[in-house]
This record gives sequence, C-alpha cells and structure tokens, in this order.
Amino acid sequence: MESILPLIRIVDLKKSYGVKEILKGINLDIFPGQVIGYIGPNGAGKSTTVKILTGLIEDFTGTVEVNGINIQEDPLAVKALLGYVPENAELYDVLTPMEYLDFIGKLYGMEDNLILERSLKLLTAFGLESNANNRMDTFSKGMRQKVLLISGIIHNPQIIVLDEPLSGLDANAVIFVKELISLLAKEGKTIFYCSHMMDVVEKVSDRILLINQGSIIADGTIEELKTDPNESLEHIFAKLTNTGNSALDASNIITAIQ
Amino acid sequence: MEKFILKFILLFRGVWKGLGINYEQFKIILETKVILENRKPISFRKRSSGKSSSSSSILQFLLYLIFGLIFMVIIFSIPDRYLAVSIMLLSFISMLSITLISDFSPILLDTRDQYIIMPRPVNDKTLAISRITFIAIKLFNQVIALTLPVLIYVLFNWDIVSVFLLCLQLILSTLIALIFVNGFYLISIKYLPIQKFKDVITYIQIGLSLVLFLSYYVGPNLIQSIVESHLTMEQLRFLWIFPSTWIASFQPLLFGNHNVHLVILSTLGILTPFAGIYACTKLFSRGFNAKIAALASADNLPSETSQLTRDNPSKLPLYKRISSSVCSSPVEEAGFGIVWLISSKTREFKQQLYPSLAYLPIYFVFLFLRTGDDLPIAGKIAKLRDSGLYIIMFYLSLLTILTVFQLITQSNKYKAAWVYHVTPIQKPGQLMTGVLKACLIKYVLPFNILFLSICVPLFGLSSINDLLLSSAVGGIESILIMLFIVKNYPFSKASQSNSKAITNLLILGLLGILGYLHKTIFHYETLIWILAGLAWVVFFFMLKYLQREDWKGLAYDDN
Repeated sequence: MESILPLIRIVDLKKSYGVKEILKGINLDIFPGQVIGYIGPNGAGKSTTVKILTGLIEDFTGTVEVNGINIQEDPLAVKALLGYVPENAELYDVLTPMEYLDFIGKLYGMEDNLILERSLKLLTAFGLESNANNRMDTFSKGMRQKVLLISGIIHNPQIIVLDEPLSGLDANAVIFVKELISLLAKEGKTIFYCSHMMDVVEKVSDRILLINQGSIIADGTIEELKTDPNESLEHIFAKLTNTGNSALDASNIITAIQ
Repeated sequence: MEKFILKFILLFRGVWKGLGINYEQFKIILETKVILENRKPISFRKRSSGKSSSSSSILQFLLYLIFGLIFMVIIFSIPDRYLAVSIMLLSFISMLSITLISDFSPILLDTRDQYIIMPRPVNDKTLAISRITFIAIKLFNQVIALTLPVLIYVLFNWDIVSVFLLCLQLILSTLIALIFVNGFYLISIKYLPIQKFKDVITYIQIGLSLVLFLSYYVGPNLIQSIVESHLTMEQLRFLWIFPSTWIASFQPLLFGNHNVHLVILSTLGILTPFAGIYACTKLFSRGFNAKIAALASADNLPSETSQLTRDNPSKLPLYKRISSSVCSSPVEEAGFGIVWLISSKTREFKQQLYPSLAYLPIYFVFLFLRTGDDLPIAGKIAKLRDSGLYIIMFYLSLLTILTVFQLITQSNKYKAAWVYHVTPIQKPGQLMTGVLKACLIKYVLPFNILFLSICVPLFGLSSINDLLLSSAVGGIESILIMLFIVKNYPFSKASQSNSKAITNLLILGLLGILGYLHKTIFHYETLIWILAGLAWVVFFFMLKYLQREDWKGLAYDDN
C-alpha cells in the first residue's frame, strides 16, 4: 500500500473481561488521510477497539502506536492528536454550547481567544449560531450531536474517531457531515468511522474493516470486498457475520403475534 | 396507606363505570402510579437514585404523622381554644400548601403520561380522571396523616359537636390550601417560562426544608411563650388576617360568644373557600389543563432563539474574569469553569446544597438568641465576645466544604465525564485545583465575608485573626478532603446513597476539636496571628502540591 509510515499501528491487540475474550489479536496499519469504515455486529469488539484507541481503556495486551507514540507509554501525547465523538453522546447539557466548548478547549490546553474564535466559527458553520448561548437541555438530539462533532474537531486533531456520528441528524445534516468527512480527509486527516449504517459507510470510507467476534474478518475497499458487482455492503456484512445458529429470522416474529 | 385508599376507591366500580371511564384501564393506571410513587425517593431527603426505595410512602406517612403530633401539641397546650385552633389551622394550611406544591408539581409535570399512556387506546376522560383521582389519593393520605393525632385527641377530650365542627374546619382549611396552590399554579404558569417555573418549585422545596428546620427550633419556644404569658386572640390581632383564623372563629361562636367581629370572621371563613373555588373553576381555569400539558412537554422543544446571542462579546462573564485571575493554566480554568457553571445551573445540585448552606445563618441567629437567655442584647454580645463562642460558628461553616465536595462529584449527567479521559490532561491535579478554587470562592468566601461584616462591628477587630485562622483551616481541610475523599472528576459519578457517614463524623469531630482548641486560646491575640499566618503558608504549600498530583485514582470507569 502506501510507502509512508502508518499513522496508527495496532499489533496483536487483545483484551479480555474476565474469561471472556473481546479482542482476539487485532493487527492493523492505518495511513494518513484514510477514511476507515469500521463495522461489525453488536458485541463484536468495535467499541472496545475505539475505547483503547482513544485511551479510555488502558489495560490490554499488544501494541497500539499512534504517530510512532506507544499509547501505553505516553497516552496524553496520543490523546492530544485525537478527536473523539462518542456513541450515546453524553454532554453536560445545562451548559450552553459556548460554555461547553470553552471547557473542552481548555482541557486540550487551548487559549481563551482561540477557543472563542473557533467555537463561533464552527457553530456558525453548523447552523447553530443563534443557539450559541442557549442551554443545551432545550436542544434536539441532532443539535447536541452537532455540538459533539464540533467538540471533537475544535482542537484541529490529526485523527478523528467518530462513533455513530450521524445518530439523530436529519437528512440534510447527514449529507453535510458526509461532505465534511471527505473534506477532512482531503486535508490529510485520518478518520476512523464506526457505524451500523452500511450505506453511509460504503459511501464515505475508502477502506472498510469488518470485525466479528474479536477478529478482523475483512479488510479492503468496497470494490475489493465485493464478490459480485451488484452486491451492497449490507449483503457482504450479513453474509460474513450471520453464522448459522445466531441468525435472526423475522418470520418468527410474525408467527409469534398471530 | 395509599394502597388502602386505592382499594377503597376501587370498590365503587359501578360509580366509575357510570362516569363513562374504562374501569380496567383506570384501575391499572392508578395501581401503577401508586407503585411508582412508593418507589420514588422522598422529596426533601437526599435523593438517592442508586437505590430505589420500596417503602417511601410509609416513611412519608410517618413524617407527616410527626407533624400531626406537633399540631396535637398545639391544641393540647394552648388553653384558649380559639387561639389554639387558629394557630393549628394556620400551621396545617401552610404545611399542606407547601407540601402540595413541592410534592405534586412532579406529578402534574409528569411527562411520562404523554409518552406511555397517550399513544395507547385510553380515552381522555379515563386519563384525566385517573390523574385527578391519584392526586386526591395523595392528598387524602397527607391530610389523614396530618390530622389523625389531633382528631384522636379531641375525640377523647372535646364534646362531640366541637369534634364535628373541627372536622368541618379541617375540610374547609384543606379547600383553602387547595385554592392557594391552584392560584399559585395559575399565576406561575401565566407569568413564568417553563425553566423558571421549575426553578421556583425547587426554591419552594428548599424553603420547605428550611421551614421544617426553623419550626423545629422556634416552634416549641413560641408555643411555650404563648402558654406562659396566657396570650389570647385579642392580643394577637395580626392573626386576624389569616383565613385560618376566620375558620377557627366557628369554635367561640359555638360556645355562645356572638360578638360582631366573630360573626364577621366566621362568615368570611365560610364564604372564602366557596368564593375561591368559584374563582378557580370559573374565572381562571380556562385552558389550565391544556397549559399544564403544554408545560410538561415544553421541556423537549428546542427553545426559540434568544436575543442574548450577541451580547457584547468584549464583556467576559464574571466566572471567566475570576478564573483568569486565580488560575494559572487553561486546564485549571476548565476545572474552575465547569464547577462554577454546572453548580449554578443544575437543579438537583442546588436542591441538595442550598438547604445546608441556608442553615448556617439560622444557626448563627439561634446561637445569638440562645446565648445568655435573659440578658439584654448588649449583654449577649459581650458574652459571645468574651467566651469566644462565635468562633464555633466559623468552624461550623467549614462543614459546608465537605457537603460541597461530596456533591460536586455527582451528577445525573455523569456519563458526560468521558471527556476527561479522552483529553490530554497533563496534570489532573491542576484541573482539581481549579475545582477547589471555584468551590472556595463560590461557597466559602461569601460566608467569610458575611461573618466578617457581622463580627467586626459586634466583636471588634480582634475577631479578624480568628476568622483568618479558621478560614485557613478550612482551606487545608478542603485540600485534605480532595486528596483523600474526593477521588473523582467533577460531575462524573451517579448520585449515590452510601454516604460516608463515618468519615463525615470523623471530620465533624476533628473540626469540633479544632474549634474548641481555638476557642480556648482565642484571648492570645498574637498567638492567633502567628497560627493564622502559619496555616495560610501551609495552605498555599499544599495547593502547590495538589497541582502536581497526578491522581492515579481518577481512572476511567468502563461502563
């Protein structure tokens, strides 16, 4: 692939909770400017990978290096390079967007003026300028999600980890965020995109990773993953992860309520 | 108790069906609401969302019963029956009104009905009547608890006509309380925006706990002095303006005292409840239910844009101006800002903290009143000054530090604390000193200024060094609490019920000992100055240490 050094390097990453092994040895090189679509069924180990990458989980075995820095040796240096928009977006919603962004910016060590300038510009760009000084407890889910997206990029990180970033956004906002992702990638940002929305993943990512039961079972561009040109990512996903007994059969539901 | 009332109500199946409601739905809605009510935390005790109680109704009933006992004491110890009934009814109406507002507002504003019941095939009448019936059940429960002791007492001691009259008076008083509460809602809804309205209810709940606290301290004294000085209604003319007195006027009337003003008051007592009901139902209530429904759902609507957005960007908010002058790094400012902002904006936080802050001035007044009971004011001041008793007050105020620090780690929005763990915070200690500074400046400094402005005029300049010493002790205490007890980022834990009672007692004891030691040496002015100076040096030294602390304990709780 690329001749340059990988920005994120994961070698034999394992993580267990008690006897249950969540990640069973993941190996991965991610290069600058790539948009990675990280998909997998519930409980496959997606969130665990993200939590390790963002420094939320510290005890694991294997090596995770970001920009040549080992995350276990210097987690803070890695955190400074990352921007993270978590799933189940939680924020202190009694604050206003300006106050929340000020708080986040300062945790990244940014100066007052820079935070103020960027927050105003970003809020305006996301169409929230008229709500900049309203408490977020009155916001819709989409508006909160936008604030979280802003808080993930306000410090201009090199790598952006997005965990279901489109939840609650309306169709226009989804188009807008998809555009944003490709623009960020053009700027040389690396995007790590986790989602269950296969059609979006298929469109925005230039490399797709499919994780199932703690191992990566598919890795490549959408074209490489297709066995037949009409196949969608949804089909590929179902084919690779629906193994035998765990398969859900919707017709059982119909029988149950009849 | 509510269960019994519910069972009783459900006996009249025919009546409910006759009203055109779906009895099965009515029954299950009420039963579910009673279960929910039984499992919710009691409103003016610390809310412990961690553990749901299963017997809060019984506890609450017992609590009201205790107040009922106090009402009984009023009736039984004041010899003038007119005065006794009038004071008892006044307490009853006030108590009922305040609890109605604080306990029933959540029921009225319950949005869950809208999401859970409204989409199901339940007709409007069934829903409306089950809501009203549920409120009635709560109300009866409360009234029974509050009046039971009085009723039992009078049943054995008064003649039967008076007892019936008292029952009538209690019913009329309940009506007055309902009208009052209704009026409160109507006016609030008309003039206040939703967030403000909920804030007002919070303040009323805080007020309620203060009233309880005050009546605990002042009530017995008041009754005692009324009893000892054989006061009668004639001497307490200010009571005449209260509806409770008008209603109470029936009693002397019954005993054949027909003077003109009693007749006027009694007439007022009968007319007011009915006039009130008429006013509430006919004049004000148009659209009340619609407004209540709108109120309950208004929370989820995006608010209309305010004009505040571009208010003078050059003017920094107060907290930013303070934080930029007391904090040395952005991370420290972040800690300062988050505590300052969230503590002023979170209703639950205020609900838990403000009562304990408000007790302090009350204690202070009480300490003043109790010192040298029979002395004139100048004598009391002299006694406080000479004994150094006022110093105890300073140390008592340091207890708030403990409360504040325990509360700032808790939040309903604790899950939002993930941000601390994905951001590159070099020295968590710096964030925590920001937190510490915000707490001290916001919650401790004002008290010290208050004490200073009270104590210097009263006890002279020599109280300054005492205050300096005690506040430095407070500063050191707060750092120790941070280091050993607060092991979490601000607002990063679910509220929890397992309070560290033993630790709290230890700290209380320690502060008590320190206060006592201070009180014994407070005459040696120079010594106090030296100690105060030393303590401040230690405080700043420890603050520096806290900043460098890397806080291994603040690990991410993965759930």
